[in-house]
Amino acid sequence: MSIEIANLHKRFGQHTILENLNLKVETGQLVALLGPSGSGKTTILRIIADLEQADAGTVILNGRDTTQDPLDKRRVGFVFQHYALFRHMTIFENVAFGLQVRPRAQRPSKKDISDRVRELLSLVQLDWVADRYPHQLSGGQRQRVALARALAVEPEVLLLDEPFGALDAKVRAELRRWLRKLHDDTGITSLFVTHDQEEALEVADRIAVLHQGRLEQEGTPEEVYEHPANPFVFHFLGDVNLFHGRVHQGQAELAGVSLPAPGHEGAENAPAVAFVRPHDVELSREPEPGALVAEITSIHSFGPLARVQLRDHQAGRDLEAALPLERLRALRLTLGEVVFVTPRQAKVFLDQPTEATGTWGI
Amino acid sequence: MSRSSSSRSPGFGISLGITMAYLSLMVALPLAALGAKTFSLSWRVFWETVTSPRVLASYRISFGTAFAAAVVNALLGLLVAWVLVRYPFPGKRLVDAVIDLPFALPTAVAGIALTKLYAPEGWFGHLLPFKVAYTPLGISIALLFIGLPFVVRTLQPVLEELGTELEEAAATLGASRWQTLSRVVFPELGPALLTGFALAFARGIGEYGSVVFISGNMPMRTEITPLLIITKLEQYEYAQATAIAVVMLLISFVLLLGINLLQRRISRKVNHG
Repeated sequence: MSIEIANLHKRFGQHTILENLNLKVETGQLVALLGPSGSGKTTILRIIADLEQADAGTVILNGRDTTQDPLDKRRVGFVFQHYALFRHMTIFENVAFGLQVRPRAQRPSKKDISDRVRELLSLVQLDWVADRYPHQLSGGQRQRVALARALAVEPEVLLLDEPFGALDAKVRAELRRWLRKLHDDTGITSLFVTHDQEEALEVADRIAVLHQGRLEQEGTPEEVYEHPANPFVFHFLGDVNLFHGRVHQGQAELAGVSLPAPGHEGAENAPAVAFVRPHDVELSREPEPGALVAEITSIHSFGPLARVQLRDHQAGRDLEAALPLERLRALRLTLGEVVFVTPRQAKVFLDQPTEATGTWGI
Repeated sequence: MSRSSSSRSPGFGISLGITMAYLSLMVALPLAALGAKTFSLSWRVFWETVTSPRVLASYRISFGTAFAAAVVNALLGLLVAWVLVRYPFPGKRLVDAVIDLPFALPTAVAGIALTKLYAPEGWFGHLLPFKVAYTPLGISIALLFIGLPFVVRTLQPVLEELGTELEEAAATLGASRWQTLSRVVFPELGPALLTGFALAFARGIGEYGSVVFISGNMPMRTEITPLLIITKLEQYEYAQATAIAVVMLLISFVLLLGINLLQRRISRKVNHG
């Protein structure tokens, strides 16, 4: 079942939460709503689930306008950040709840309910906890139970609100891979909210980036990461080095660095900002034309990429470079050493922030 | 004692010591004195005193009216707490403060005010087709007034902590409003509701000041046990007075213990067992 929301508006007092929001989720996709807190992503989810009402706009599920439909007609499964399991019920009773509250005529038989619950519990790999209570499970297990409970009513759409937000890093990483696999197995159209760009990039088929109630960009993880539509998206999807400067006929001049700025051939000495990902920053001992000079202030060499913090004393700014461990070893960099820094490539945006709303323009 | 004591929380010894000493001094000692005084009676006189028809009737009235008032208070107190926690409305803080007034008001003042209202010629009394003041119903109304804050103040923090997420979860699973309340909300509130009920009930059993005015104090019909005890005291029958009190205390203790056990059974499921 596809989800389509059109021209969604939502205000809370003087505060605009959603502004003219349009989004389409195709059948069978797993889409991430990514944004910082307060960007309105959870509100979208709650409006689709009819837990909140929009001031204006429509929610179209499977081509049918369901804006006026009550919750139980929407066939929507919802997973909450803090699990929202019923504490006085066993895991079995929690998962069975959605089936047991059906009107008698539509309620499956006791045996059918039991079979269905067992099946779902083994789907989330927790069939051995059926008789326990929620407080006896770990956070990750509880969220899997919550997922099984949501799936029990055979929803056509699954909505997950920061499903792994309350879990520690290791469990998060495990669960999101597991969620991806579960989605591939069940094929249920899913929309999940997260503020963790890594989570969105790793799990989702498509990502919708939200900022202050507006959709900034929508696309595949590659699209939003490699071709961010605006400075906000670029900034939000990973660490960046920021340079202020000017663009003139396709060439950016950024305080001592000159880089090509594709797409801005028509610019005439326009103020601009350029973003350089840390892994696009080259470090060298040899002086190179157009390189910046900076002092190494710290080196973190855990994980596959080493992170080097630098201070450009001349321009008074901090830089960050990420390089493979072998490269770090080959260079034999030491703290306090002065090296040459060359941005390999940059994403350049003409500088026109609209001061009034504080949002970024393209 | 043993080495294992080091695994206890620090200060266990001294805090337990203070607790026991304080409880002995403030609760156990007066109660023991009550028992000791009662023992000055012979078994026969004791039995005759506590089983005399007038005393038995007073037990029925005291426990019956307190129970009825506590049940009503539990239900309406839940509603009040629900409204105060869930809905924003103008004057909410004021209403919230009013809840505590029965705690502060001298109970005799409450009793006189209620009697004026519910007496046959009173503001409400003359509108009602049945008698309220000077009947067991009147006693229960006084106890409703006294007991309400116990229920509301017990439930409020629990409701606040409960939040709306569980209800939303139930709703997304297709539960009706009533199913959500009966299967999700009430079971979650059970232990707190029972505590509020027990507090209101216990307070109602011992309540004296507000009841004596509205009850009319007719022996066998509207005479509560605390009043009977006062009466005995005024007749210098101290030992008989304590005998009645001891029996009342025993019944109360058994009832409250029962409620406590029931509550533990419920909350073991809900909380960490």
